[in-house]
Amino acid sequence: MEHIEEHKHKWYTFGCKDATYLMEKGSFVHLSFSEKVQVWFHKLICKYCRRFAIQTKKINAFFRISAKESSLMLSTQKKQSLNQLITEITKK
Amino acid sequence: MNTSVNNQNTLNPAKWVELYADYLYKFAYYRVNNDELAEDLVQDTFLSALKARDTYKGEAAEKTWLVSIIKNKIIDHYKKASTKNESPLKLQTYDAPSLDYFFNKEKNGDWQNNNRPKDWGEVDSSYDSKEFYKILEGCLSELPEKWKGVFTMSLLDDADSKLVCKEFDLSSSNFWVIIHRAKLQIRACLEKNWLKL
Repeated sequence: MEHIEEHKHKWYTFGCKDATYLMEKGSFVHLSFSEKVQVWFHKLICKYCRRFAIQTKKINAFFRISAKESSLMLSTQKKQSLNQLITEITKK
Repeated sequence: MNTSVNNQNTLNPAKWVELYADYLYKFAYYRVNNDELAEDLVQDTFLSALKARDTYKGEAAEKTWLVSIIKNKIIDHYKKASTKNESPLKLQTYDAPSLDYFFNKEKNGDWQNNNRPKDWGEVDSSYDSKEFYKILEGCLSELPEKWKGVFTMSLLDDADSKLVCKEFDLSSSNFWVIIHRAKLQIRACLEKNWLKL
């Protein structure tokens, strides 16, 4: 397994790096009570992390919407060649 | 009641392109961010499906079955990418901004003065999803391949994050680290290139 440094944080040095890390984690799993309190308190005193919290959620939402609403289609040319390929194989 | 109900799904390869090609292409495209690769994945999916059609038991609907095949192919792509590039998870082999670019080590990891999140204003009302995606695509292409996969797949497939970890062979703490790093970079990239702040 590849090595990647784990994120460790202590309550007495809790800063923006830790708060943003926990916010990202919190968008996938439930944070523990103490993690929630730390993030909540940090956001109370840090305007930039309040911004980050809003922006990171927006990015997720915008990305999901783009993928969902996309009218992207496979080219007609590629479709034709795929149809040919399938016909050839199923004939055998 | 004596009517026999046939719940068995059947395969009809002659209709695959017409019914599913666009869907599968789109599915792949938003997870790999590359149109040629997405096309190849659709083709590989149909080929694998044809090979495996005798083993299809009709339990899942045809579409669901094809989607599960393409999803596995996407994961294989990211797995291959991670061995080919000699461990893109090792941050030192990758010259993206380090965490120190965003956070000041000396000050409890607070934001660096130049890289703090700026005010995005009323972004919801002015946003156009096509334009947004175009820029996001550029931002994603600057990430290591595996990060991109972790990011797109964990956001688009509302599956359990444990599942994504397993698929990518990551511990959950590594998964959070990657998501955090990817997000910091994407956020900063969007702020610069999309909102031009």
